[in-house]
Amino acid sequence: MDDFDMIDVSEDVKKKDKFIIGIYISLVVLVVLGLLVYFFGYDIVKSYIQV
Amino acid sequence: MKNILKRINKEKIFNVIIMLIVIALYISVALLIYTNFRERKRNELAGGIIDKVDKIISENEDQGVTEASVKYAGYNYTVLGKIRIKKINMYQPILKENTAGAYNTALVKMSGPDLNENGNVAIGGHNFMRGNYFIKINRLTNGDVVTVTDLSGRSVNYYVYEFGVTSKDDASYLAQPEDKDAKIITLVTCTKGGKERYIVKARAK
Repeated sequence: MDDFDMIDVSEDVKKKDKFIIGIYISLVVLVVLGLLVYFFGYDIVKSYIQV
Repeated sequence: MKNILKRINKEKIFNVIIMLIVIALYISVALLIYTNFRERKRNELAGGIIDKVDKIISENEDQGVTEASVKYAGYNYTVLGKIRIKKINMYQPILKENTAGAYNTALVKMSGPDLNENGNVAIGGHNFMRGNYFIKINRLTNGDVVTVTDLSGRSVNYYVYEFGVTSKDDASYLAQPEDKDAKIITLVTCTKGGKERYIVKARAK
């Protein structure tokens, strides 16, 4: 294993961490947004909903 | 170097798959919420129409009114009465319009004489994922009571005597009874994705 390989791996790990954090954030946003829309969104959008 | 490239490619594919899963989750949640809102709106509409039916009944009691126009939340419908099935906790208005919009809102009279008159009245309804309508009519068995109230305020109890599945091309359940004095109500809903019909027939004693 040479130095370049070591640098590549550490950058890769950083990128991976960022990606995983991004995924976690998007999942949290999904849950929070979903709950907000489910409980408080109906009255706002009901006039636009076609049966 | 080859190994690194291989690993990067594998990870890229993995990342793309994860992102697609997250996007699919967003779409699924949006669809679930939309379906729930649509269901809520349908229930709200049906409840509002029932209130209007009750008002019409109180204004026209015993006057022989068979139908009336109602306007609710921007929708115009012609109502004929209402139906209650206690066993499956169903309480819905019956509409005259045989349209997709009417079927999406409540139950619809498909054929037959006026409600609670002699003959066979067929009432159709959807069976949505979570809705009231006819989703539970397959739980009805012989002797269960179906109460139909017309706009004159006359309520008639019908007792289930026949139920089961029939082909969508079979319209024999709409036929009028040989006994001219018989009062029959036929509840109809789709099953197997519309390929068949689930029928419940009830007769007034």
